Amino acid sequence: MMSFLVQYKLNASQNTYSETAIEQDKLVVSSGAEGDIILPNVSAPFTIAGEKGGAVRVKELAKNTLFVGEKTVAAQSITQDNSVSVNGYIITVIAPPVGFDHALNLNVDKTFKQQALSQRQQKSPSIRWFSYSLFIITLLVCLVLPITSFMTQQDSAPEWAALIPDKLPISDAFFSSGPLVSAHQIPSIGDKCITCHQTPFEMVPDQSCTQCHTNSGGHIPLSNDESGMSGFNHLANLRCADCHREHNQPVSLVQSNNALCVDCHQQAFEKNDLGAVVAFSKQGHPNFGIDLLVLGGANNLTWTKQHQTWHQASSRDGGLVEQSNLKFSHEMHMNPDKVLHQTTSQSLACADCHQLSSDNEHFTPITMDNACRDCHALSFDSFEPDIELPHGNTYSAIVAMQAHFIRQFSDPNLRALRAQKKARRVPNKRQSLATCEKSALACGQEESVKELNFQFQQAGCVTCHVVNKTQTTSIFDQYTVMPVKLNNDWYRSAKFNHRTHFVNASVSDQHIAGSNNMCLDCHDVMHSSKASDILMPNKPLCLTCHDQTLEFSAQLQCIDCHSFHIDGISYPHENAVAAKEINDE
Amino acid sequence: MQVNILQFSKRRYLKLSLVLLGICMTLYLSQTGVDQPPNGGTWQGYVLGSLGAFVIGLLAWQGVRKRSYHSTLGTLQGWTSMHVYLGFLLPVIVVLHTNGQVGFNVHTVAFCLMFVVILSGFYGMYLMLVMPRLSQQNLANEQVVDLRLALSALDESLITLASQGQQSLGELVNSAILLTETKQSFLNRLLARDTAKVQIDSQLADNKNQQTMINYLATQIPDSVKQKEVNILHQLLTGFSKRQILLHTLRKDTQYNIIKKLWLTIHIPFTVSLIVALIGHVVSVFFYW
Amino acid sequence: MANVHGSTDSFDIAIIGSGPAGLSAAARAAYYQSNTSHILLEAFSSQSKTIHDYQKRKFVMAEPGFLNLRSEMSFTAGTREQILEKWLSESEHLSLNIRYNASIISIDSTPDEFAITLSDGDIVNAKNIVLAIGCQGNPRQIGVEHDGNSDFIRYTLSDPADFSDKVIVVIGAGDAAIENAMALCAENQVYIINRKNEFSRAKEGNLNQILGAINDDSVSLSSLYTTTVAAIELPDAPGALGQLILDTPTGQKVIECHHVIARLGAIAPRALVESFGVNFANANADALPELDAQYQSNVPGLYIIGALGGFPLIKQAMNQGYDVIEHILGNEIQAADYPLLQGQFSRLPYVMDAEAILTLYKKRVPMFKKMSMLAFRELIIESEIVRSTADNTLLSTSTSRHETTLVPSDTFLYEKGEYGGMFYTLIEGNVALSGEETTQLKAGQFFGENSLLSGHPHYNSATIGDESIVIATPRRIMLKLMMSNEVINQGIDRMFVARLIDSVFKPELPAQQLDQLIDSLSSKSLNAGQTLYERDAHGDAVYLVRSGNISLVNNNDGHNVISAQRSAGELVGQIAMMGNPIYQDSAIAAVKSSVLVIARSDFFTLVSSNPQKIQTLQGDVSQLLKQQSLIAASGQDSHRLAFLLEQGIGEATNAMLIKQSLCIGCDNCETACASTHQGVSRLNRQIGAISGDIHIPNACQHCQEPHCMKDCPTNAINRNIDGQVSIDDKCIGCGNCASNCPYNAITMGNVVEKQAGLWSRLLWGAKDVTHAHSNEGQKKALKCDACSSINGGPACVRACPTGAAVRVNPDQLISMLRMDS
Repeated sequence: MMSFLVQYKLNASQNTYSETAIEQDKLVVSSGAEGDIILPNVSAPFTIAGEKGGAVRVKELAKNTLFVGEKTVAAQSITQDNSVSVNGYIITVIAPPVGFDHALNLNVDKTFKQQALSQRQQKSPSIRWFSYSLFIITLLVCLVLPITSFMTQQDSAPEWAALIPDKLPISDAFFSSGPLVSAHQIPSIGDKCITCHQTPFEMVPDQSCTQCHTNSGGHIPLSNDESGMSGFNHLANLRCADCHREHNQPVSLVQSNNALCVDCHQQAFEKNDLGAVVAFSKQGHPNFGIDLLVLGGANNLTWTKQHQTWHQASSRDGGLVEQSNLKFSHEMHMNPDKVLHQTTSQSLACADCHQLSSDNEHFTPITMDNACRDCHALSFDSFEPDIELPHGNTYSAIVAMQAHFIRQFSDPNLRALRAQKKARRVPNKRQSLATCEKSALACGQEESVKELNFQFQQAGCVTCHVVNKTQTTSIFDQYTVMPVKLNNDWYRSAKFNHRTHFVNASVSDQHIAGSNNMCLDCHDVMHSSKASDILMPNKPLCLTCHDQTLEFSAQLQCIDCHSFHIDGISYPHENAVAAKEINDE
Repeated sequence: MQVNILQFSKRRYLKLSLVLLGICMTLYLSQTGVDQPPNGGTWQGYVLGSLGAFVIGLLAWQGVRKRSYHSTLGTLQGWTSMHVYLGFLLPVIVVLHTNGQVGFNVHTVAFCLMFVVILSGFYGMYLMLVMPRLSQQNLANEQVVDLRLALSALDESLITLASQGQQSLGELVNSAILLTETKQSFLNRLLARDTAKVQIDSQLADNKNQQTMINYLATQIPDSVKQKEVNILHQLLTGFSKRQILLHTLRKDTQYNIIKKLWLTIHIPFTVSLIVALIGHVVSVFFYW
Repeated sequence: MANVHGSTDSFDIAIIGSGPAGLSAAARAAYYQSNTSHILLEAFSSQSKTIHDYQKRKFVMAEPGFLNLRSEMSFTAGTREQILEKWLSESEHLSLNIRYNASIISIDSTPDEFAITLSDGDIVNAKNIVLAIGCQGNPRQIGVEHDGNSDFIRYTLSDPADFSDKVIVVIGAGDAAIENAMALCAENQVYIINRKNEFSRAKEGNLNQILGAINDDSVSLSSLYTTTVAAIELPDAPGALGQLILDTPTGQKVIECHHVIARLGAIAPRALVESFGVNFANANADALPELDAQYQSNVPGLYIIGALGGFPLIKQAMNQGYDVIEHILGNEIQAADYPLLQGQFSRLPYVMDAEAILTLYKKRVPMFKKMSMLAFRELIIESEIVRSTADNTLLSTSTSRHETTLVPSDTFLYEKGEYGGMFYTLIEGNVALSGEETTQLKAGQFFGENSLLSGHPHYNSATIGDESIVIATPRRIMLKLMMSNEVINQGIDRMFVARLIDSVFKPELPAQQLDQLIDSLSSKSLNAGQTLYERDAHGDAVYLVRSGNISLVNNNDGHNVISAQRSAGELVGQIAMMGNPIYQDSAIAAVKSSVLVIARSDFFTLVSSNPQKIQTLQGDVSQLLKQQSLIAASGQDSHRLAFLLEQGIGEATNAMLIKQSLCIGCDNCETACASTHQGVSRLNRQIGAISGDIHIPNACQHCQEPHCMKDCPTNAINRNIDGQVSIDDKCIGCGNCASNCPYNAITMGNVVEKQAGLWSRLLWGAKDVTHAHSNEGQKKALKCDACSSINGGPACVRACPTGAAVRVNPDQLISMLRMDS
């Protein structure tokens, strides 16, 4: 049981305090009669409980009724000379006089009305505070985290990097300006920018690319370049990334932009026999250059490839002939009146001899066996038509003949058999000897010589091959067959896809039966009787469809035929180094 | 004589923005690379980007210009007018700069922040043009301070008046006045909610718009017999009707004042954020060049 | 010597009033006490009542700085307490013979000495009297027994905080009484006693406050009406409860109280002084007693110094105290301000003693002949002596204030359209006044009076010739002079009228006829709202506005609408002179104005004398009619115009207006003002009248005739040529201007020299505005200076983000209203 002394001064016009003493542990303050202390304005009752040393503890029974200073309090101890305020009153704890445990002073709060006024304008949420927090967050997300994650990945990562978790919520991938091309979306790259971007604020170096792309050729051979071509340095200083732009959807990495080429190639490089190019058109593009096989060397027996340019733009360019040392007439072979297919006995199709190789540009090489032998069998003994000469080697052919004939005449049974046989007449074949009275050796050798002369003079080898007769009498050295080589790659620095050009044809079967026209559109074989004819199409023909100046034309980018990277030429950037050295001198 | 920020000086900055718009469009359309999509990567992209960054800087400088009271560089109204029109232009520039390429990266963050700022800005501009008239109508040629004083004066007079009546009446009026909550939560102030209460026979009753009080007084008048009582009640009734109107006006005014400022709590912080993100964007571009 | 008591004493010198002047005089007298006896009579119970009554810790300044102090007593700027303490100790140390509580009833002069009768019946005889009683006057006393000043009965309240939990009775119904009562009732139980049945004399603000307080039970203030004091029972001991017996309508009533504070106003000293036989210049309230160079009044042996003599500043007063004793003792001394006089004449082209030049100049100008030497001396010292010369070497030498100002020959003194704060008197050489045509002035003539008197810009330019000398006198001094010297007043007025007439009519009449006509003209002054003539009345005169503004009011289907406003130099009612002799509209003074009445006949004489002027006059009329019809056509416009005029914009030269429909209430105008004006905003957007779209915030409108400039003791308020009125650092914070301003546009406050920088404001939200509420240091009068100090025009307008704020002059109003609607 504690004793409270309560001083009232509920009206300023009062000069003196009215006092009451209350014997209780806890006082209830309310506006109703139930209160020990009655304050008309108290919206909800609250209690005052005595504590030690004259302090009291106030406790509100309804929210936001009690205030200490500006703050509302649910429950709080009030020590001496401190006060709590409630709707217009101030209750101060004062030093209890003798005989009392606690003393309270109730006074009107003069400032209450002013407060009430001022409270009508209260602060709104602080813009500044909000700004600073956003500032921090953005700073973290957009700069700090990404850069930190980069630093931790560096080879020479500072030691504090160890403290940073490997997987940051925001990695440096946050700096990415777009997805990589699908070819580069591989585990070994992942989202590790550092794989290519090795040092910050430096453009991606070529080393980044060459890590993987070890053997793509360069464009200009520096070694044999004394030309000092204009624009060379420019090319030399180019980085891979200058043309191959990553993070640059939706465009692919390969630059098909002619400008890139034309930049340099709009002027001619005579030294390299490169005409000026501006576009693929009659004027815009030089005549094609073609590679021809030329026989030369000491005894004119070695082949060299020689680059020629078709100055006249016709495919019947008198100037140029092929020297394959073969005798062949496409005209004749394509003429059904003269030649029919051995088995189908239909007119020949191109594909009967020319098989497109897997690169869709070149054709599998034509050989005796895969193209000629079916019709041109090498039989030499009209009594034994199934026996053929070996092909490709004169000596072994002669030996084989001698061996055959000597054997024929040395075995009496064979002689008898041969004598009875009735030999079949075959055009362009010599009627070989049926009987011989001389010794087997003599007969065999005579017959061999006859046959040899026939093969190399009338028909046989000489039909397709160029044969020279020497002055020597030795049967073996009497004739030399000139070596044969067929040109398989006419346009070294150009790409062409036959398959994409196979129009009106069933591409499925390799033989392309009955689809000659499609080939003949470009390869003028019907009028070619000589093997020396060059049947490659050239510029004017391509232009018929691809002339950029035409209103309707299948537009070609340079790189559709030519490629920038040329095998066997070192990288531009390596050139660059050298180039700089050259320039420095 | 005085014109609003849109009409300022014959819409000078509208014209400026339109010219800039033309230039930007031409730049954008001039991007015809086969191997380069029209985005920040092309030289036009860089130009547009730089222009965008400059405009953002210029718009953000408003905050500085507003406070540099000695500045003679145009009037603040001029700046505000420019702020608004360039604000309209900015998103266009930026979209042309990005070509709408977005992803989960710093660039898109900046892009979005820019839109938050711009949209909040549009709203703010709308308020600038609309709110004054609303406040004007609400206050009807009065000054808020006067109204506040009037209210407190009214309150005092009501208390005095009531104190002349019966004890119960006095307490009733006291409670009605003191329980008209002056400490309002932000939300309540924003929604101009009236949480007024009154204590009728030690029961807290809702006193929205002082209606309960008015009703009570109205019903009391017929019942009371003493002439003095009736007079007091009459005066109280008129008093509380005044109070109803005053409080309503003040609540509305508070509400309007909050609305007038609230949009800034989006606009300003996000501007700050945008500036940082923009720096991040520029840095990142050259960081991984 | 201790205070003297006894029935009759005789002294050589009796000094009345122990203010600065009195004390200084007494101190000087005490210096000669070996052969001269003196007494200092003080009605109050302590020294220097006026300063004593200042609010506590008020900072008192020692202006004018350029004037040296010459007195036995010391005086430096400081707080009220410091100064009073110093003086008290000094007066004891110098053994002044002071007699307190000795208020004078009468002074009778016998041939060789004066007999001074005191309120307690004693009589003091003196050969000479130095009257230094200042202007405050004595507080009117309650008029019953024991009403003398005591701890119980007080006639002043220096600090309410001295009292708490006391019962205090305040007697009086004026502002002072109300303010005291309000201040006291916070801590005390207060009764206010009103002789009448209402507070009729109080300002409105005070009235509302006191009535509110009286009706508020929580405020411990109660009021007794139609009540007078019957008797006083002094308490047994100071601080104990005394009794006040009152006559109330319901019979006698006794109030037990600790203190009684009586604020019954003061008895102006003039009556008293005149009762001593001293003549004043004229009946004018502000008129001064006539004094000679030795401060001697027309009553031989009766000297008047200090505020009463027209010198309100402490230092002046103290110097005079010193001088007057010397004069009385017949010692020829150079006045304390002699160096100043020398300075003023320092660069004049002749070798003469300053005093000689002074007398010479006084003779030169007919108008000045009538002046007392003292007044003329002050005029010269306060004025600027301008000398024109072609001598460049002379011009190149720098001059300081209080030296002759040198200007190149043939330069403008002022130009047409500039506002004039100066009154010029040509002493030597020539000055050309060029309006529509040029007139040459001769030595002795004056000019520049038009702007001075009308408050409107000059309508002509003044060019000073070669080797000419001009006295440029500040507005305040000139007005003071005109108040106290009828001849000068009339002289100037006559010239003003003549030139006004000339500028308007360009009459080509024989000089003599013109003079007669002008003399015949009468002036008429109107208070705001007073009607000059009614609509449809017979137009028997046309009026030429001298000063202020006259609104023309049309009756537009039932309700009155203001259709135009005519200001100084413009004619009113001339429509009635042309065709139908009926006023088409009513003319009402928008502000306190005065007009020149030109009778119909005179008008025609003037007009007909100069035919080509008729066209211009008619042109003006039709112009006016056009404008009127436009305004009258739109009720809204005229309503708004009316509103603006009744808010006093009529007398503004540069008023701030806010367009409500644009204002978002960001208060950037205030912030801008504050940070461009040492942290204190000179405008308040939160208050000020609103009508529809127009809000007139509380800010200085730079009146045509600035009320604030009326009585600034240090002449710290100036108007620059564009009309802006600004307060410079000569301000001593006396607060006269603030109380004179009818628009409460001046606040007394403290400025902050150091303000938060832009970035700290931007980043940490450092406050731009600091409010002028602190009591620390010395308060100064703060008001809008229309940003004449900074580039780019008013900061408030430039800082308005929505363009709601503008500054306009009345001429722009009409056009503004038109454009808005």
